[in-house]
Amino acid sequence: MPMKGRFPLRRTLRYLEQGHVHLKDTVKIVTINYKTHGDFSEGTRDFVFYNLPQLQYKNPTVQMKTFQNITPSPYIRCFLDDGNDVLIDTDSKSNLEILEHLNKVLGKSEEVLERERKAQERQSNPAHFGSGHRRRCICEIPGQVPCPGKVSLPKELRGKYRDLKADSLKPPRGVRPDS
Amino acid sequence: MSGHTSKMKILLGQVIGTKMKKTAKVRVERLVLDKYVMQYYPKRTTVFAHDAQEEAKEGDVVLVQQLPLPRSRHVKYLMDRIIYSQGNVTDPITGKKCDGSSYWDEDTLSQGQNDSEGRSGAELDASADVDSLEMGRQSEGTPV
Repeated sequence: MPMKGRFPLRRTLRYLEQGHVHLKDTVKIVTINYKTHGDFSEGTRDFVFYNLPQLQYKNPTVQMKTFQNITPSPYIRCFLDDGNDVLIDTDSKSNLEILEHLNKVLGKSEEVLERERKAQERQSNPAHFGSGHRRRCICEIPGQVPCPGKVSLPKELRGKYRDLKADSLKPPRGVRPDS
Repeated sequence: MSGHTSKMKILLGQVIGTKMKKTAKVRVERLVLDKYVMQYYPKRTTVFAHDAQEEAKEGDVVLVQQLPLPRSRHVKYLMDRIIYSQGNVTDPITGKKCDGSSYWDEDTLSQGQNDSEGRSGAELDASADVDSLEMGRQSEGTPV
C-alpha cells in the first residue's frame, strides 16, 4: 500500500532522524514568516515543508512557529533566552541555503556535538550499575553475591558478627566506648 | 524592552483575551509529533501573562516569560514584549510598517485598509491576519 500525501517520505522516522541541525541551547523559539504565494518565499515555504519537521525532531524543547502573510518579506526570527533575537533574511533563498545558514549561525558545531556524544557514551557505559543504567545491582547477575534483602549474608560477612569477634577493635553495639 | 532576567522560560503566543485587569490571555502553540501519522501538529495551551501597562490588545503576537514565582493562581508568566501588533505590524527586515503583502508608505491607502481595521477584532487566527483581504486589492506594492 503506497504512502499517502504530497511527499510522504517526510513522515518516516528515518527522514526525521536525518536532520543534522542541532540548535544551540540558548535558542528557545524559532519563528518562520513567509508568504503562501510568490517566488521570494518559495525557499522558505520549502524549508517549512521539508526541513522544519527534521529541525523540530532534533530540537524538541524549542518552540517553532510559522506565520503566514504577516509581512511582505520572508525571514526567520529566533528568540534566545537572554532576551535577544536573531533575524535571518530568507528572501529568494532555497531551503537548503536557509538550513545551512541557520546551522552556521545558531547550530551547534561539530566539535560540540562530538563532545556531547562522547559524554553520552561515558554515561551509558555497560559496566556501570545503578538506576538509569542497564542493571540496577550486581546481585542480579548469577554467580555474584545475591541480594541480602532476599538471602541473608553468611555470618562472617555481616557487620554485627564481625564486630563481636574478640580481636575486633570496634566495641559491640550497646556498649558505650569508655563510659 | 522590559526587564528580561536570563534563563527563565520564554514562550511566543497570540493574545486571545484582555478582559482581565492587567492580564493578557495568551495562546501558545507548540508543534507536537503525532507518533502514528509521524507529522507535527500545533498543540495549543493557554497562558495568563501579567501585563502591567495593559498594552497588549487581542490578536497581538507577544513574547511571555515565566515568572520565578506565580503571581496568582493562574498568572505564572510576565508579558515581555509585543512582537507583532494586530493591524500594525512592523517588518523587522526593512523596519517599515506593512500589511500582508505590501508596505504602508506605498500608495495603498485605499478602503482595503479600512476593511482590515474592522475585521481584526473578529478574526483571531494568527495565520489569516489580513491575507484574505489582500488578495482582492488591485494595487500591491511588492510583487507577489
